[in-house]
Amino acid sequence: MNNRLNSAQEKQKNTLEDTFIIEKLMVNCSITSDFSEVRKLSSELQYFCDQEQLNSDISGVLELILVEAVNNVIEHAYDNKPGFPIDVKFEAFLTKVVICIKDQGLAVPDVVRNRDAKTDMPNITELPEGGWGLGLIYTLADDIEHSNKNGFNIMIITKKL
Amino acid sequence: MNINITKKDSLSIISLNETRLDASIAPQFKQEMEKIIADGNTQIILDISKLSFMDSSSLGAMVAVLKAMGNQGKMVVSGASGVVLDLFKLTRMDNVFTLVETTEDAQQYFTETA
Repeated sequence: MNNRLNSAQEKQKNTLEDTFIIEKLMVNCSITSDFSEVRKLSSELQYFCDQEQLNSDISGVLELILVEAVNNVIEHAYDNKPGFPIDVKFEAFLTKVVICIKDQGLAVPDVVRNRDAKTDMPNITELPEGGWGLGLIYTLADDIEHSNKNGFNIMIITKKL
Repeated sequence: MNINITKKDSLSIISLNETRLDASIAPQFKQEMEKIIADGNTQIILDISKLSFMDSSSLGAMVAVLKAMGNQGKMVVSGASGVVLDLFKLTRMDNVFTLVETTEDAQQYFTETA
């Protein structure tokens, strides 16, 4: 009974937060599709985490999620071609951080979007040299949404605090 | 890329003097490590204690280095911590690499397995 009550209270709290959108901080930044540019995003994220006084454990996880997601955009959406735009927004709420990544490259195929990426890590016995990115993002994040609107791919990643 | 090599008997202690290892420098890291192996360094301690961040492309570069060693040598990785250690564990590559806390632990490992 208590568990059910706590669960209901938690749900109501989250609903209230979503309803009133108690946003604490928002940071926007843009880079081009070059791996050397991704460090700029990490610096902006570090500033964001410092402002929010997030501990090093959560800021480290957020950075890994961010870097893997943006590396995927460069590698797959833009096919490793430099100079294309990537826009990123960090938003802090009372109980979560939301990272929004927008690009104009190739859309994420449904087969990738719908697969169970959390358990779809490369087989270690084959000594893989890649292929972990999506699995890491799905493992570390609490919620991920993909959409495609007006030629923009939008990935919204939520990490609970 | 700032890599420092110290020789101690048959061991080569390679200190990665970078705080970040990511996709922008992973290919260079791989190239320099493969050259070190080709130069005859076959018992390697890779000290990554200064790293505060590493991404999966860099982990892939480390796997490539491990493959380059083949059966001719051994590499022990020392000093992984925080999100760097998490990356090894999340990908289960902590089962592939020999990870130890310090370079002294790594030297001890080589002594015991000699």
